[in-house]
Amino acid sequence: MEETIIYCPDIECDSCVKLISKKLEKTQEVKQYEITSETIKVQSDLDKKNLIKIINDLGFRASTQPFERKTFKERIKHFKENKKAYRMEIHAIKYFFSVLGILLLLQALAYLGLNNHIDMSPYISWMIYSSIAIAVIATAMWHFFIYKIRVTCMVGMMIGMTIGMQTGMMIGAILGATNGFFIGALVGMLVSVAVGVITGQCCGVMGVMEGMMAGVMGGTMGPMISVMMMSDHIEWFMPPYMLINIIITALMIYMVYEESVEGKEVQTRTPDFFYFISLCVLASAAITAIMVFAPKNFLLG
Amino acid sequence: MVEIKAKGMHCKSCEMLIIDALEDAGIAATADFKKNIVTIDDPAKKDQAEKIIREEGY
Repeated sequence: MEETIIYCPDIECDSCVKLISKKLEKTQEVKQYEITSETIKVQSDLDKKNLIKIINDLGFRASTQPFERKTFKERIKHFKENKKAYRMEIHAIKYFFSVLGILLLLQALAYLGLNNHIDMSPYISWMIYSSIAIAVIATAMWHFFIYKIRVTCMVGMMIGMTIGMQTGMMIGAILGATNGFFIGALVGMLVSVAVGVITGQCCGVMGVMEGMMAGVMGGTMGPMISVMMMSDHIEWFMPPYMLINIIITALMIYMVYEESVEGKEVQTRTPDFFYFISLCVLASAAITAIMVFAPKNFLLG
Repeated sequence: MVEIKAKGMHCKSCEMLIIDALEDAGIAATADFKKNIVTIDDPAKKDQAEKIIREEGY
């Protein structure tokens, strides 16, 4: 009989401990065990491979080596050497640029079409920003939903919060700049709360709450920023602002991969570009229509 | 098939704990922690299933 230490970073509550305990108690070869927040010490006649499989089958990551997060340098090296492991992430990058290209093209057509009737010149940069925002948010959501993954409560809450918040910060800021605070906050808040709920529900009511709270914060903060900046070089503020929001969203995609996909046997759904682009086009059309036709505050309208 | 309301589930582990306990008693079941629902295949075993779920702490 030998003692094995199994590292298991996904143990996060009493139910996880109970679930693993029950499984180990049912396994005859296991004589003794001790579960802590990140490790399981097992005395058994089973070899390490089988012990790890028992834990993996319950949906937890498990290894005899501690789970160390890769540095960015290590990640890039790993990416170059194991492109197959990042199949969905490569897909996500391709989808992002494809959808961005299509949205920009459609926005250009909308601009040319509407410009004969309405002066569209004040909207050019905001239409570009809205295409970028929609492509970024949609890609993050697509990347999360393409995996059939079990997320811990902590990761689920981070996902709901980040996507909800970033949606509000970007869409809210754009509509705040074109329509003023009321429309920016109202639409930004409603859209980002919806996005926060959709993504946060992966971990139940905790994620939903987190998504909603982040949606309210992001949806009202975004337009607040752009309205306050309106008379103070907003055109110089927006590029770095959008860039930072994009980086945060990209890091969330990175986190989903690192925390919930890497080292697990994860099933994926079949990517459907038509469905993805359809939703993006609808969102883009709705945002553009709000920008151009919705009421504006007295300073803008 | 019959649905049983089960409050207190908050993650996948809770779902699996309940399913496991019911399977040990010979009751095939699925659980959804987001909807707080446990579904069992055999309506005749509803009372027994409810007792097991309660014993598990839900």
